[in-house]
Amino acid sequence: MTTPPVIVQPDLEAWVWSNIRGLSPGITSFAYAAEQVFPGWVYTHFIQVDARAKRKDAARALAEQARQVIYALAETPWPDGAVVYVQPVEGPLWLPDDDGLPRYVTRYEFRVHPLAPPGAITTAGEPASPHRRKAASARSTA
Amino acid sequence: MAGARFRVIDRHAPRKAVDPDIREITERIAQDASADAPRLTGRLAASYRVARGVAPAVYLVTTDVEYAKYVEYGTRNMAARAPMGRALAHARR
Repeated sequence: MTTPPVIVQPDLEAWVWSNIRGLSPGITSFAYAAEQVFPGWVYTHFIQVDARAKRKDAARALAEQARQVIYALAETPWPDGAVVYVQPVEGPLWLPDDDGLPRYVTRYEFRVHPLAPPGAITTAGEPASPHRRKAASARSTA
Repeated sequence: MAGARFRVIDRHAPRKAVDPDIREITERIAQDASADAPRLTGRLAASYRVARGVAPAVYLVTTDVEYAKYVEYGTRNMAARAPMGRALAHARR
């Protein structure tokens, strides 16, 4: 019996934060849920992004800036993994803080998988990632 | 089939067909949110209700607790607990 390889999942929450933190001190993000789609490989992450500013229109503009950065993550090279899907599931919605500070809230769904290192082979001799398995299968049938 | 004509006698039929399943999913989401809600008095956890929407196969999970939005989305002084968001995330799997 062989031991399945351990696939380290990339830290999407940190990746999203590192991309949006420079937009404004009023931007915050956190992950509130994660589900596995393809066990050990593709995970769905749900992240909330809050855009706060002194005025409502500034908060809305900040939320839009964050949206554009987040949408671009699917095409942004990431050393740890790949974002293969990103969509807002809620918002941007107007939800001031309990003390009245303007805030727009947006929740996004991401699907990500890690990058298999070049030449990675599992202990069973199978290519490590589904993509590599598919490519190997295509080569063997050609 | 040349010349065949079809008449739509119930344009909501596809929605009516899936209505029971959608209701069941919505009730599960409300139950999950209730189970995941923080409990101090239990008022929020007991408040999630399923309501019928404006069309077949449209259901809403509602709550009349005024602080529910702050528990769900957090504030700058309080972390979000996201009971509905987590229940929806699980349902979307």
